[in-house]
Amino acid sequence: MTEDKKSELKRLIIYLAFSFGLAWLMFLLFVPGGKTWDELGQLKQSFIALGMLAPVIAHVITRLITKEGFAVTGEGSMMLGISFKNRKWIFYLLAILLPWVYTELGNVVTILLCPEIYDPEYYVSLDIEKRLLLLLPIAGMVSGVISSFAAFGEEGGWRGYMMPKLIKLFEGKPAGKIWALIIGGVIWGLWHAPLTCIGHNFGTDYPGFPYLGILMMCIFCTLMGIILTFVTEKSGSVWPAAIMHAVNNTNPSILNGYIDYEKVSGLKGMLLPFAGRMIVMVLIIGILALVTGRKHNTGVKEKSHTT
Amino acid sequence: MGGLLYKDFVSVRGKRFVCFLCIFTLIFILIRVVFPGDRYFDDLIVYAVDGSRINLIDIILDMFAWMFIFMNMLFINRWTMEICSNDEKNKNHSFFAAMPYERHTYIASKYVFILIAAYVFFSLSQIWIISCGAFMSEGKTVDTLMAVNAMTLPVYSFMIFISAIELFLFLVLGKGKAMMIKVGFLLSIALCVIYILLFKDYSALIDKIGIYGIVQWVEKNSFSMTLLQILSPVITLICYWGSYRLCCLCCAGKERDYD
Repeated sequence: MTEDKKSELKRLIIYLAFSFGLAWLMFLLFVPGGKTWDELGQLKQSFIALGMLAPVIAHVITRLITKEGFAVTGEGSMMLGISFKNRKWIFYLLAILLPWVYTELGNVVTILLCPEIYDPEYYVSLDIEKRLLLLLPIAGMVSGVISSFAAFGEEGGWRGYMMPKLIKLFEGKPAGKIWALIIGGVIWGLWHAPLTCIGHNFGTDYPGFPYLGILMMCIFCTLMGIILTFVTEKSGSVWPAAIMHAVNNTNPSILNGYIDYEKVSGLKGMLLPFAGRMIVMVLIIGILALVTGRKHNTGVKEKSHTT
Repeated sequence: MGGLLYKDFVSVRGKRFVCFLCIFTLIFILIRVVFPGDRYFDDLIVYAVDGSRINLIDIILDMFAWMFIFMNMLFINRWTMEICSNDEKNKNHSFFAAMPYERHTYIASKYVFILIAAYVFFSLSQIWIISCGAFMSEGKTVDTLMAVNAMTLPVYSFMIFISAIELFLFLVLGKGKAMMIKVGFLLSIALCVIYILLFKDYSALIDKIGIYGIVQWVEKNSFSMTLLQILSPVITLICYWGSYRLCCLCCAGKERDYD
């Protein structure tokens, strides 16, 4: 390992220590013993979710310790700048719309995989008006953009610091970028472990709790991380990733009012809410890879023709 | 544009202000955690009309949170004037004319600065509301907090809309004329309010509009509230962008005597 990569590894370890330390301290301090995520109530959940600010705080602390500086744009920067030039606005638009697309299509796939969870009157039992249900995706997108500070807290750290460091560390190795993306996703999934252990996302009623939940979270975070890293690299900013993460967290889908997950339990109940979405995410990653690969090959061919 | 934004940030003593905000937020969260709503002190308990127990600590900290949010809204308004008038006061326009900035970049920096400030203040407001509500005792106080929180986004959107108008006036007309128009408008509103208070019967309105009236209205009209929360920022941002374009149009080719 070169000296440059050794120093990058040290910086990454410092960052991870603070990121995990601050977040896990928050999670452990404020989650009352014995209570599950659903038992906490919405307001307590929102307060604990402020632990999402830990990665960006860790990013700032790490830069203070390592004296890397606080450049806003450019190489080695915090990637806080916003630019719409050179068609970068497309990635901001993608960041807002893509979560709705994969959540809605994911729900379609979920219903196809398990038709018994479909209930045309489910939203009535939730006491939601039908016209409100139709507004939910748009409400999710708007609130995702405006209330993206918590998601910025995560993405400012993960995409703003961790992923560039990992990509640099694996540079030059075969399939280096793919390894960086996988390891980044696993780290992100493990960071959620204390919450997964109290039933966040997957509940507590499944075989292999909480280890299977942590594994699922790592897989989901890897897939999500690939898309988030893509939009970050293409836009040169962490803001599209923050917006996309925030919109994703609002779970924007009309079909949510027609799916009753109470009808399934155990492993099926744990996997179904995410299975459809993950299948669609894999397709989206495939399409993005194909489009990016074609553009890269066209660029290489044009260059070889001119030389 | 980064340089212009940083200049405005320094001109409003931004660093000092941000440090103050962060410290204040941390202190508030600490107090809220140390004194949660389910921790009762005998002298700080009151009983509502329906007999339910209310912890005065919740009310006091709730008031602090709303004061903070209200103060943030005032700062958006104040900074809108300050970032324009500081350049006039320091006679910076001749200096900017020599810099490699276009007029519309200078104007855009003002609009972007206020938008960033509004985003930061709104985010901090949400942190305050979440911290306040997470440790509140169950009951009417939480419902009130959440119902009024639902109004925060439309109110912030309204403040940004006001900023869009003020920025246009300050950048196109200058501080003197813009302040004259602003003071005239505010005086007219004040006169209307005084007229209503002195000569109109508003007792029926007071009965309908109380804090619990708002809570009940929000609970009954969830669709309208959701629509308001979606449309208010979208319409505001469209108006904000329109104000920027109009300002660029009015300022294009305009030679002002800044001295």
